[in-house]
Amino acid sequence: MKEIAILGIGMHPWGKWPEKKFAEYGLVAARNALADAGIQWKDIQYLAAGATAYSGTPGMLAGSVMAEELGWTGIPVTTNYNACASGAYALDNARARILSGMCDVAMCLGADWAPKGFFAPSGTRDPKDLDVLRFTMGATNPAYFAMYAMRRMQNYGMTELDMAKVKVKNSRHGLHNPNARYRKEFTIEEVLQSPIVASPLRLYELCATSDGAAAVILSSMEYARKVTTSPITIAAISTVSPRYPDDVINIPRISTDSTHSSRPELNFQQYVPRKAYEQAGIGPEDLDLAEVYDLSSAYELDWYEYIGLCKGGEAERLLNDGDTTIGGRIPVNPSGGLSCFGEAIPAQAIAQVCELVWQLRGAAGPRQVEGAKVGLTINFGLMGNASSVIVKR
Amino acid sequence: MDAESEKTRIALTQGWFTMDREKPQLIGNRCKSCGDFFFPRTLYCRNPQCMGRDLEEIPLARTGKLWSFTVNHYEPPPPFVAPDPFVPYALGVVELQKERLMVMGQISSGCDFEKLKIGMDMELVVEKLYDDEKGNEVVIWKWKPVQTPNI
Repeated sequence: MKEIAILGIGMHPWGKWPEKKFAEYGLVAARNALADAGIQWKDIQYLAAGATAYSGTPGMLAGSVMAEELGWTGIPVTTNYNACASGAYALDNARARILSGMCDVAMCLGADWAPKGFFAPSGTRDPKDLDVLRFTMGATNPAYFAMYAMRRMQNYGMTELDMAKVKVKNSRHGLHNPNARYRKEFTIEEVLQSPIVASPLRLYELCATSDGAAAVILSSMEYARKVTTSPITIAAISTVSPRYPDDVINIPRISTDSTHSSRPELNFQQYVPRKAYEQAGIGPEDLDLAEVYDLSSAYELDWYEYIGLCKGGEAERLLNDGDTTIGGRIPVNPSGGLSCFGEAIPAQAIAQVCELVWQLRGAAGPRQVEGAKVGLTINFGLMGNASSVIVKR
Repeated sequence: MDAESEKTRIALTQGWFTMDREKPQLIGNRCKSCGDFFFPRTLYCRNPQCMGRDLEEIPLARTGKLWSFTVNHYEPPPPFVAPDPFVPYALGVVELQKERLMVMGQISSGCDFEKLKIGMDMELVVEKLYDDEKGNEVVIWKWKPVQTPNI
């Protein structure tokens, strides 16, 4: 796949501000990204935004709201909703426009405002809607993560201590990240003393719901070479959906497909990074760092295996050997991950790309992964929406 | 007990399971071409290699193996209807061997959640999820460990 350039990145810190609106965060991220790129808003030829689900019609038209806030310039503006992968699909849409020659430079933006606590369905109350049904049964998002964690304990002997260590690692990584919401170093004891939300997962091992915003400015390689000599590039954006039969009970499903007539070669979680590696023409051995979706501390360990850092059952060893800590062989979540950020749905995939760019520029400060040249993101959400982006220098 | 059993039982998702008090079953369907099973029922076959149009309604196996489970200690937001005071509840995913599919459900509230183990045999029951505002008992399928008969 042809590469595109990342000209600039910008974020608004993650947090929780019930009284604010998503556009306030979005404006900060957009203006930071423009300043970082050294170009003007009037130079942007396309704006792709991710929708935010809890802000009514303005949330569904997030791109238009942001274009109006920045000042109408007559460019095409789109808003897409792909759950947690909304930001990645915005990147994918912008890449398609750039590679087809429809535009040279585009902005991708995600800004979120979400209620505190468990996510809950919005819109319908039909009990036959799977999202409503699973919530009526009490299958919150943490309940799904908990059942995967319980499997991991059974299959691979993951312990309570292993899960706590993931949280402690990520809390150290994110400690000095100015955009992280939780900047506190946790001890093993603190994690293990936090209450169980959905067994075996504890409060400090689960991802919070956050507000925040992130933006990137993308361009063709030709355009980038006019403004910089060594652009950072996007080598892959995998936005794939599951393939039948999907044999993992992913949110919001209450059942799997039947594997009666055929068995999947890869599950969806393995298929997402596979497609990214194919686009970039590289493999897991080429990575210097990864930002993966630690929706729970146990899930981070699953991702080590799904993205090919190790074989099934070896993730605990990688963690305990320090391989995935900054300074180790392949640092995972140097930003602090969802553990330190919480999730701001349409902004999260874009924020992950921002982190890779800071790392590849050598501008990540105390959390810098030395000599980072290639990074991968993993993002995973509701209803078969997931993504993986590979960024290179 | 008598007053309890006189309440009108309403299925949360009507037509998705039988209301048999002794041996209830989930109602799925099966593609007559490729043989794949579906739960909940689908309009057509969802296997892209098949795309069959002819499906038959079929009751699913009442028993299977516990694939995973979790005990939930925090009260979820609506549409969950929590008892007052809130009590922890368990969820489980059960693998149906013949159909080769998995179905999630709450674990029967009368069970000792401490005794749940991955791989154990489970059977389907239909039990109360909550009482609605009209005093009806809203029921749904749940999973319950198969009782080993006392010798």
